[in-house]
Order: sequence, then C-alpha cells, then structure tokens
Amino acid sequence: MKEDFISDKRRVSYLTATYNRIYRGQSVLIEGDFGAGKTRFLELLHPKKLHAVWVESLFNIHETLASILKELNYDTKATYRRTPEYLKMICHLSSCFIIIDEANDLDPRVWPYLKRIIDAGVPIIFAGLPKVRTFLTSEHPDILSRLKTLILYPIMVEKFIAEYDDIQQEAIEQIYMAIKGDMRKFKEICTDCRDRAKELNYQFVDINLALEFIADLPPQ
Amino acid sequence: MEEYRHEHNSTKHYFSENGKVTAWVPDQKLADFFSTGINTLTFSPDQVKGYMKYGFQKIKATVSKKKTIRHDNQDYYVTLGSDLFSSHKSTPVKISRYNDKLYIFEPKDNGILLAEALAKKPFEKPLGSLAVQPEANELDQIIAFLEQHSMLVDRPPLIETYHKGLSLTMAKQIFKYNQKRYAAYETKMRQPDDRKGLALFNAFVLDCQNHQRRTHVAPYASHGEI
Repeated sequence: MKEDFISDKRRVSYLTATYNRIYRGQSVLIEGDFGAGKTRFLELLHPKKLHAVWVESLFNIHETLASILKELNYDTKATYRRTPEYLKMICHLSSCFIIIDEANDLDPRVWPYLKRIIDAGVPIIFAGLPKVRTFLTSEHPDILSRLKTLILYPIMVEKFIAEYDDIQQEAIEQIYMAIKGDMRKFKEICTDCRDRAKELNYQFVDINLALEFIADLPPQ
Repeated sequence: MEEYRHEHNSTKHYFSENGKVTAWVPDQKLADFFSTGINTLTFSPDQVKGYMKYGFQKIKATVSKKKTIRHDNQDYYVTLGSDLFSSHKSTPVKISRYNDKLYIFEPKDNGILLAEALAKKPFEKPLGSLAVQPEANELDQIIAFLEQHSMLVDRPPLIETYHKGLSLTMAKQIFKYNQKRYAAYETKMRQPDDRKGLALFNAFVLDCQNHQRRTHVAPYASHGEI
C-alpha cells in the first residue's frame, strides 16, 4: 500500500476496523508504547470519502477548535469568546474526521468538548500512550465507552526479515532484541548499519557489523 | 558465644532443693538422658532442605508495581510468585538474601515464604556459599541449562519469557529444535565470547517468543479482530 509499510496482519486488520468505525461516524483510540508505530499507523489512514484533520494536542480548547476549522479553510480566530460558536460549527461538520496524535498531552479540560464532538457523529481518532486509557478509565469512563480501543504492538521480527533483504537475518534479530520494542530506534539502527556497510564496501549488513554497532550504543 | 556456651555446659552449676545443695553439669546431664535409650527425632538434611529458605536474616523491603525490589543498590526481579503482588500499588514484604537471590516473605515475624526474586545481573563475587545449597527453582535450572550451552543470560528478558510460560522442558525442546541455527550463528560470529554468548541468548529468546506465539489458541478464544 505505502512504500515502507510492513503489511503486518494485525495492522491491516486495525486499518479495516478504523475505516469501518469512522465511516459510521464513530471514534477510535489507538494505544501503544513509544515507538510501537502509532504515528506511522495514523499516516496510513487515507479514506477516500473523508478528509483528515490533524490536531495538535498541546493547545488550549479555543486554539484546538479554531485550528480544526482553519484546517478546513474556515476563517477563524482563536478566542475564548468564540469557543461555543466554533464547537457548534465543528459538531455540524461532515465528510471529515479528526486525528489527535499524542493524546496523552491533551489538557484534561479539553476532553468534555471532544465528547460533544464524538456525540455529534464527527469521528475522532486518538493515538497515545497506554496512560490515555488509564486516565479515561478513572476520569471519563463515559468517553472511553464511546471509543474502540486498538492496541498496537511492535512489529514481529519475521516481518522485518522478509522486508529487509540487504540485512542478514541474524543481524536483524540482534538489532530487534537490542531495541526492546522501539521501532523508531530499530529503523535508526538499521539505517546506520546500512551506512556503515556502504562505507566498508560490504554488500549487506552482516551479524558482526550489527553486533559491533549494538555494542557501541549507549546503555538504556 | 561459642566459648560461653562451652563454658556454661561443661562447668558445675549449683542448685538447692529442700535445703540440700547439689551440683550438676549440663553436658553430663544431657549425656545421661540420651544414654537411657530415649526415642529421639531424627531427620536428614534433605528432609528439611525445603525449610532452609526460612533460615536467613529477614529485613523489610517493598515489591514495586513493576514487581521489582531495590535492595542494597541492586535491582531484583520477582521470578516465582509474581502474581501475588499488585500491579497498582507497591507491597510491603520481608526479604532475606542468599547470594544474588531474595526470598520474599509475608511482612510478619513468622510470615510464610511467598516468592523469590533474582538480581538483574549475577554478582561478580558471590557473598558466601553454604555446604548445602537451597533448592534451585525452575528458572535457576533454565539459566544453568543455557549457561551450559555457552549463552550469556540477560536475566530481565528471560524472566519476562518465563512469566509468559517458559518451562525447563520447553527451553530444552526449543534449544534442541534450533541447535543447528545456533551453530550457524557461532560460525558466523567473529566476536569476543561475551558478545557471542549474548547474541546466542538473544536468538534463543526470539525462538521462545516465536514458540509461545504459535501455541494453539482455541477458536472461541481468538474470536474478533486480531
């Protein structure tokens, strides 16, 4: 589908589940540890009939609401006075869905507004660390009940072995074990190993090169 | 203490009964008592080996939410009985240490043995060794088995795999099944021994994870999206 997307069975199933939900106007929570591939997963979402609106999770509610409308080419100014008006406008939106990455950074005061949006049938996809679900369980179980939770796990090593033909199987296995589930680090080390192999005029990354590279990494 | 006991037991002590003063030596008194052919309780060290773990000095400690214990600048991971501790709040316990292992007891003076914990890394210098060793649990046996096959065991991932259901028999099977793969690994590696050992161990953990994933799940249990 996408050039470096690994067609992991679980991810493909999640993608279908997410499309099914947002086409019905329902919302989703994607949960995963850092480096599990949440953002990468969100980037894969390209429903044909819905427009994606990415929202920065750090801002206040008036900024957040205004930025959603701004993304859809509305001429909006972020002020507290206009917050009720903007909320109403967003609740009436159609043919779009909202993506909130890093949902763990959301201000607790923003959640009730998002609940109104979810109830109005505008789908929101949240992605965040497991603590988002912990927070919602204790503070807003009503919001959590409106969301379908999909838990992302790191991609299995076999998928990488099949995908990366310029890195020996043993080398991939050792890198995979060294990064302890952080896919961002995995990608970074693979790129660095490839660069080193190129410098040394090797055709592929072998286990010795990978082991030397891993041994030089700072302890975690 | 030993000297005092010897002195106390081998010297005369006086007592009076009905105004008559008599002397007695504890050692002689005891020897006389046993020479009368009284039935005594006899047991072999093997029979009480299981209770050996109760014999060390107990100190207060806390098992964290992550099932770890920080004691004397060392991190320990709970191995056996980790399901007895809460993952929502830490649990007060009493512990006693034997080399790189902790025995975890209820936080009472006469608390029963609940669990065992193992240090993150083996100690470079063992603190002391007893003539009779406390019984090795299954995880200790797995570690010993892997070390026999020139692996350098990184304890935290092994403990995690153990909690997911790895047993000694399973470990042996997985090793036997992938033996050729490990041999190929060894021939390909031109590295110092410890790095080689760790790489072999990593390959073994991956094989265990693979094996555990393939374990059969009844269709009714895997219903729904994966």
